[in-house]
Parts: sequence; C-alpha cells; structure tokens
Amino acid sequence: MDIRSQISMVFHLDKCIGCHTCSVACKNIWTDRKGAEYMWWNNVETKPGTGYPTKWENQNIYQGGWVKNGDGIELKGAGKQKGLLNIFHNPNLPLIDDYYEPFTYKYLDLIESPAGDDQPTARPVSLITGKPIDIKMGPNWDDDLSGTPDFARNDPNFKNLSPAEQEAMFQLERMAFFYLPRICNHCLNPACVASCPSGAIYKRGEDGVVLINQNVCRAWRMCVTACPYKKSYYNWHTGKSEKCILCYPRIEAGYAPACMHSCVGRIRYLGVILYDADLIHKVASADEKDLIDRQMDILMDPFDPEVIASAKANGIADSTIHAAQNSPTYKFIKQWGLALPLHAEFRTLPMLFYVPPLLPVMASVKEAHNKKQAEKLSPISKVWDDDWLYNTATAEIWGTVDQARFPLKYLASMFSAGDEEKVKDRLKKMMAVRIYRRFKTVGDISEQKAMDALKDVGYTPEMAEDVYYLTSLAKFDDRFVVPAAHREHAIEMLEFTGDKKGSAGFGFKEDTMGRGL
Amino acid sequence: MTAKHTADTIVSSVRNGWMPYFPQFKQSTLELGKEAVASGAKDDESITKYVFEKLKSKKLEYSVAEPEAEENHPRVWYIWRGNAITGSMKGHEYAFEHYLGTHSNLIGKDSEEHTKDLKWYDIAPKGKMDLVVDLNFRMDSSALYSDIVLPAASWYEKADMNSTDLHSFIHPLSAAIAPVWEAKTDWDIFKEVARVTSELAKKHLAEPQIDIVAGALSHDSPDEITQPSVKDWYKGECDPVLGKTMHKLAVVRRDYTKIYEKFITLGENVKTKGCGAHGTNYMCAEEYDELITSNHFPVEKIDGKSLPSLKEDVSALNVILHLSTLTNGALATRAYENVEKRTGLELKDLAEGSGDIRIRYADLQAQPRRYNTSPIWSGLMNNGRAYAAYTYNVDRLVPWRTLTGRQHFYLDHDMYLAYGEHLPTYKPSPRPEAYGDLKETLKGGSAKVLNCLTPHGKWHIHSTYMDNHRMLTLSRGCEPCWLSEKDAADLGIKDNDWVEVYNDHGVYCTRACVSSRIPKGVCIVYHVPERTVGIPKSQVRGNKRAGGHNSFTRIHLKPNFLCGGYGQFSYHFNYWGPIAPQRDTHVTVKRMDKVVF
Repeated sequence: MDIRSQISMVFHLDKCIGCHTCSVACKNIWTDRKGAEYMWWNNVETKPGTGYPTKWENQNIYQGGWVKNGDGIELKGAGKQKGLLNIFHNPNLPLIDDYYEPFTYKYLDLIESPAGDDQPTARPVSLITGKPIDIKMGPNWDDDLSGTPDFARNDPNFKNLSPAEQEAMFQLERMAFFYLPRICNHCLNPACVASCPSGAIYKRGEDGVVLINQNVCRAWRMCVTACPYKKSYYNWHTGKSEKCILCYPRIEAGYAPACMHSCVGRIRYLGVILYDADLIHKVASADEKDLIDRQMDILMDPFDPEVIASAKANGIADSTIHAAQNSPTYKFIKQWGLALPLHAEFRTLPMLFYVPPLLPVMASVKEAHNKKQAEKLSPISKVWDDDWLYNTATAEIWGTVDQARFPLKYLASMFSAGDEEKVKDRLKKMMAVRIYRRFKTVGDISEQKAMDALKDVGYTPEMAEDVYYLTSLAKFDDRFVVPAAHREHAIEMLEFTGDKKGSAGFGFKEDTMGRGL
Repeated sequence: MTAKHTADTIVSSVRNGWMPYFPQFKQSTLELGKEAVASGAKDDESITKYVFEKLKSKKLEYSVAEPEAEENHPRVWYIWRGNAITGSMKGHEYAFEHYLGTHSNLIGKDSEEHTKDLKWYDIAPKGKMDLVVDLNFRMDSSALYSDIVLPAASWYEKADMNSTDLHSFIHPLSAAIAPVWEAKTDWDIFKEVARVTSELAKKHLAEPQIDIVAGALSHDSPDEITQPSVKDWYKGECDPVLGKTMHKLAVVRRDYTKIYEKFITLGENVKTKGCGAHGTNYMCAEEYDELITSNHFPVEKIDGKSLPSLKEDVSALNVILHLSTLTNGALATRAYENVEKRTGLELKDLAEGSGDIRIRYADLQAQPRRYNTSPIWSGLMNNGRAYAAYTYNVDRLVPWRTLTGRQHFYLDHDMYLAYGEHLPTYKPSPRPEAYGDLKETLKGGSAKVLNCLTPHGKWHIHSTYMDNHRMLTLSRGCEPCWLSEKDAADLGIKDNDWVEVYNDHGVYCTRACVSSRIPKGVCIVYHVPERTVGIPKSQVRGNKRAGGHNSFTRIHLKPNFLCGGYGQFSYHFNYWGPIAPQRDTHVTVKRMDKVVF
C-alpha cells in the first residue's frame, strides 16, 4: 500500500445551467494573454455536441490516451517510440481551426471611418493575424444545439446508437441536452506526463495537481496529442505548452479554484481523496468492462487505520487526512456511488467525476387534431400544422430511468466506458432520493414506495438525507474541503525564512469572512 | 369602438385623461400661462379655468391629434441608462426615418386606412428630433446615433442603489475606481446640466414662468371611479369636466434660474405633504427635520435657509434611505397606521421589530441588507419569510388595488367587452397576412414566411454584455438567426451561412444558426444585437448597412391598454399604460451570397 493524496472534483450535471461563468473566470485570470487567446483551460460543452476542440472525444482522429497492450498499456498516439518517430512532425495535433481562430473587432472604424451616407460597423478581425476574418468556429460553437446537423448529430458518443435511436434524441417534443464543464482531469495516470520527451510535466506530490514546467518545456507538443481530453494547449507566442493548474496558488492559500468559486449553479465539489498508488498500473490496464469498478477500488477509505498509517508514512499531513475524511467528493464517488469519471476507457484515471444528468421524462407527447379544432376558429386565425400536444398530465411522473430522455447507451459512452448498468445504477439512486424527498415534502408518494425505492438502490433514509443535503443545501464550506498549504512548508520554500516572521503570510487559511463568502 | 384606428384611440385616450402625452398642446404651455395671465387670470384656479375654456372651445389643440405638425415634434431626447436606439426601439427603421431623419431600410407603405381624429398627412415628416443626448459608458448603437455622448461612470465607478420587488434586498453600487478618463457619475452629469441651465436661464428665462401640466386620471385615487363608461367629451357625448370626464390640469410655477438649487436640495413639500406610493401615504416631517438637524446628514444653505443636501450622490442616497419605509422602521409603522385607518384592519404588528431599523448607504456597502416589511410592497417578510407578492392581501385581507378590491378574472369595462377581452380565454394569433409585414417584400412573388421571435438572450441583459468580447467569443461572434433544420433545408441555408432576415419594415444581416431546438415555422433572433459589431450591408436593400433585431419589427399596440379612469385601468407611471408588443412579426430569410462590410 502506497497512499497518496489527490484533489478531486465532482460536477453535479443536473445543476449546471451552462452559463460559462467558470470559463470566463478562468479566462480572465489565466489565459488573457498573447498566444493563449484560443485556450480555454475551463470550457463548457453542450451535449450532444462535438465540443472544443471539435470531436476531441474521437481518438481515431486525435490518437490521445492509452490503449491496452497485452497485460499492460501504451500511449495510443504519442509515447516513447511513436513519439520519437514523429518528434519533428506530429501528425495528430488539433489545428487552430479545430479549436477556433480567436477574433476581435475593428472598433476604431466606428470612430475613424470617413463621413458617408451609411453607418460604420466594427468588422471581425483575427487576434492572431490582425486581418479580417470570417468567423467559422468558436470555443462554444455548438452551444445549446447550435448547428445541430453539423455538430450534435456528429457527437462521437453516438457510435453505438442506431439511426432511429439518434433521431429520437432530436425529436422536438422529447429533446433534451445538458452541459458538460471540463477542466484538466489531473489524472492518476496522466498521458501528458508519460508523453513528454523533455520530462517537463509532473504530478505534484502534495495534491496530485499536474503541471508543466515552463522552463523545461521544449515545445514538442506530445502532451497536446497524448491528452485524450485535449486539455494541454500550445502557446504559439511563448513556444511552451500550458494547461489548467487547478488555481494552485489559490488552493495553497485556502481559496477555491476560480472556476469553482464563481460557479453560479454551485455544481462543483472539491475534496481530498486518498488513493493507493500501488494499484495504478493494475487499474489502468484492467479490462474495459472492469474499468469503473477498478477505478473505484483505488480510492481508499480515509478512516481505515492501515490507510492512515500509510498516508502518514508518506508524509501526508493530518490536515489532509482530516480533509479526506470530510471529503464531499469521496462521498459522491465512493460512499454513495453517484459520480463517474469521464471516458474511463482513455485509461488515464481522471480525477474529475460527474454525477450524470437524470433528465427524467415528466410528460408525454399526445396525438392531437389541431386542424379539426381550428375549424371552429375565425378564418383569420393562424393554424399550426402539427398534430401533437405536449401532455403533462401523465399518470406516473416518477417513471423509471429507462424512460429517461437520454438513452442510457449515450450516457454510458461518456461516463462508464459503455457499461449501461453502471450509469443506470447512478440514475436509479438519484431517482430514489427524489422519490424519498417527494414522499417527505409533498406526500403524494407512499412511504412504502419511497422505502422500496431506497432499498432497491441500497440506500438508508439517512443516506438519502445526506445526498439531498450535499446536492441541494450545501454551503460553500461543505462543497470546498481542501486544506491550505501548511505555513511551515510555505516558509521552507523561501530562501530567507525570516522574511515571513511576524506575518500570517500566504498559505495560511483565513476564516470564511476573509474569503469574501 | 373596435373599428377605430389605434392612433385615433390614442387621441381619445389623451383627451379623456387615460394617459399623459408630451408635447401636450400645439401652443407652448409657457405661452399659454402668459396668455392666461394677460387675459386677467390671477390665481391657479382662474388660470386653469382659462385653459379649460380654451380646450372646450377647441381653440387649444392637442398635440396628439396632429403629431406631424412642426409645433408638435419632440425635439430633444435624453437617453439615460438604456440603449434606446436598437435596444428598445421596436419599429426601429420607422424611428430612424421619422425621428432621427437618418438612413433607413424601410420599404413599407402607409396603410390605405387613414386616421380620422388624428390628422392624416400624406407625406409624413422626416427627422423630427433636433438633438439626441446620450449618457453612456459604452459605444453602443445609441451612442453611435447620438449628437452628444456624455461619458458616464459604470456601475463600479459610482455610488448608487438597486432594488426590486422580486427580492427583498437593496444592493449598493460602489466606486471601486474613479470614473475613467472624462466620465462622470450620472448624478454629477445631471447636476452639471442643471447648473448650466440655471446660468443660461438668467439670460433667457429670468422671470418665474407659469406652466400648465395636463395630468392623467391616476390609480390609487378617486380618479378610479370617474369613467364607468367610455364617453368622449370632445365629440359631445358628455360634458367636459376636468378630472372627471377628461384629464386634469395643474398650474406649475417654474423658476428656471433655480433649477440647480432645487437639484442639490430636498424641498419642503416632502415635509408638508409626506411620501408614499401604491395607495399608501405617510407623513415624514420629523424625519425631514432630522435631515437638517442631525449631524449625520449634510445641509445646503439657500437664501439663508438650511435644506437637506442632495449635492453628492451619497447624500442623495442617504436621504432616500432615511425617508423610505423600507429602510426607516418608524416610517413603516406610521404607514401601517394609515392603512389601518383606511381598511379597519389591524396591521401595525407587521412593523413590529423594525421600529428602530435605520439603514444607511454605508450599511449597505458593508453587506446588502434585507429591507423592512412595508405596506408599499405587497409581500410579507416577517420572521425571515421569503418575499412573495400579494401575501399582504391574501394573509391580511388588505384589498387588492382593483375596482372591487379583489383579484379579477372578469373585466366589465366597455372596451374590454367590445374587444372580447373581458375573460382570459384562448385567442389564436391572426394569420401573417392579417399583419401585412411582407406586402411590399412579396409583391409579385412568394417566399417562405417565418414567425420571427426576439426573446431574451442567453447571457446578456438586453444589449449589455452582448458585445462583450468574452460573450461574443462564447457565442458565434454575432447574434445569429436560429432556424429549424427543416426550414433551413427548404431555404437552402446551411449552418453559419450569412443570411438576411427581412420584411417591409427593415432588414437584419447575420449568420444562420441551424438547430433542432427550433420548431418549424419559427425563427429566433435574440435581442439585442448591436449595429456597431460586425453588421454587413444588406443586398436586398441595395448595399445599405443592415440594422438590428428591431429593424424588422414594429409595434402592434393593444388598444385595451390605452383605456383609463376606471379601477385598476387607471394610469400609473410604469404600471398601467400602453406597452409596445412586437409579437407575431413575420419575416422571410434568404441566404446572402455576397457579404460586404
């Protein structure tokens, strides 16, 4: 047993409203620079859709992540040998048009245009070349099913859905979509680290944050290819690659990452997880059908004395162990079994987890004869030539998850390496909590039915209350449980420790008021 | 009644006192005041009588009956805190043509049906406005079309407050930084305009003036029972009686040389007449005196007299907070006592516990505060209860501010009966041809007609933030026209193609956004795109710059909203009066093969 500490994040997708406040907070702080204009370390995608960069999930195009090779694994597209062959020409890189060419507008034309009989306008220009640009792509181009024929209908997660199943997802009356916020997964088995010929990328010992040393990076861009999530970006101005740093300067000082702090829907949870590093190889090379279970196995019980002993032996501070014992992410992922990793089949052991969206059917489509009705109206009336009616008067609003508006197959492609049962298990638990709360608050569901629903998913009423609390009522300090860096560590990193004498300094967690909450 | 042109209904609406209208009369109201005095009128009563007689004998004409006459043009337009041009201007291209007198993409022709009460001009005047002044912190479409732009401080550069009855908090704005470059706060801009106007008045209007104001029959007053049936005094259907069968008249004495002094001080009318709103009144003489005697508030000395100072924005804010029931508990108690007298109900307990609450601007800055439960609003918030409108009426049986004091589903007003609007029943939209948005556009041809909606955008508040670089990047660099997959295929339009969205009223050029989210027969342009950002020239309008989402709209005024003098249909600023619906707008959408900026 080799216990390490990892900061992990959970996104509750039923709560995401797709406002992109996280993206903007991140952008304003970290990537508002020359060469980084096109980078969105945090982005939010509409699903179904092809995302940013477009079709990033399709590794036949980008060759990212790991593949199983006998008992072990190897990088799909980069890696020591493949990488060396392509070291001066990497054919699998996304191009700027796969992301988007960043643009601004020529605002000066509004003021400096010569007098004329028409109004001036500021036309779009490229932020890279400064020349007029025809905008054809953006970091959120398929927002809310924009360009359905070109994007949503080409979602790589449709690969196992029949044409009829796909078409049903775009039937106007039944249609649903959800939002997927994405940052670097700070994986336990990061492909970017493995692919870097310069050894510039490393996983921090204290919290598992994956970082690129800007002094060591030599612009090979193997990490850009290797990361199956496309969360390593090449800065064309500095000639270095960059990525999400989980706002580590903020975390060290006891502040939440900007994306999380700004989240309007309060969908994010950040907590410490203790994992057994000895198991990484075994988990990463597991059979695809076992990937989810094995990844859950690597996350250890923070109350287990053996786990604690190993953690202490590895120099993990008591504050970190204490945080792990109060971790909201551990609860969601392991204790309650509600959250799943995104694309476990990439085998990087991502440390972001998603509570899948429930999207229950709350109504049905009913045949109606609008034309016949319209005959009773005056001839001036506009008549819609539709013959359906959205009927909310269904007998059973708490239907089964099989009726969910998203086929399980689709969600399974994203969150459980194709295993529908794994997704179904999570959705059933969420539905059980809803049924239980409905029984408690509205009372139109019988106690028997509520208890049966909980029993079916292995929940007690106490667990259901806990899930409800952390989902709906949690305060900031319930959602963000990460210890600040220890003052003694911070000071030891300084050349002159005396500089900090008499001051609280950075790395000293302030109280809630001090953090402006 | 229903056969009338809506513009004619507006004319009778103004004459009957259902709503105010400016300019008021074809003759200057200051001239009218002078004339009344010259004719021997000495006091307000005789001046009013003089004006009334002149209206009765139809020698004094209403501006609303002839808006095209030069004397009746609105001349100066101040735009403050809004993006009126493009943002609010439904029927945008008509306003461009007739108000601003600038280029427009209008091809619509006048209707064959002419107005009767409103004097018809075969050729409508162009460019009625002389001057457009815009207080703005953005170079938006309004600024682009204004004569003068006064650079204004943004939310983070000034002291101000925000609140709403949709929640129960008052939010302070605070200057994180000083206004950038030459920008000034709104308060300082208006103060400076007041100061300069007073200076100029010493030369141009040195003497006090007598002004006449025609006021509408107002809500929460006995005016509510003045017109149980619709009768037009102007047409001899009844006798003209001020404040009964017609609007009211007030005499206002104005000293333009003192505008600045009045701007920077709070006058004594507040002390003698009190404050109130929504049918609730309260006296605040002690509180007014406190503003002068307490060392918490600055004063101004005007002609040797001390008055509460409104010179600085923060002072003005503190005066408001001190005189509001929401932030001064003593006043809430007093206001409830007044309602108790009027209703015979016990209500004072609602103010219990807030008697000693005094919230000042600095308190709000420290932390947004929940305001007191007050009879001015209809939500009860005692013991931390969440604000919900009308809980005051439901829980405490305080009558609703309607004709019967109850909620209404049936409206027995003549006009509602005549229009079949007396019950909330389903009424289908008329067919597109009934609106005639495309008469000229489709002349001698046909095209697919779509119902174009202009709902609120996903992440802008009207036009604010729409042209923010981040949000433009996170959308499609423009405000596209959303089309259904079916309609797009029928029209030969692919996602991100440039398209023209147009009808007789005007044209908007943008990119298509083809989505399964849109039902067939409908297209959507979220409001508000800015004309300043990436709008190409229209090819269907001969290479002229296209407009915004309001270019293809015009207003379909609902006549019922014009009625007044009866129960809840009595005028109250921003509460009852005509709104400007532009629903059921129909357009055609065409792919642009040539894109010129």
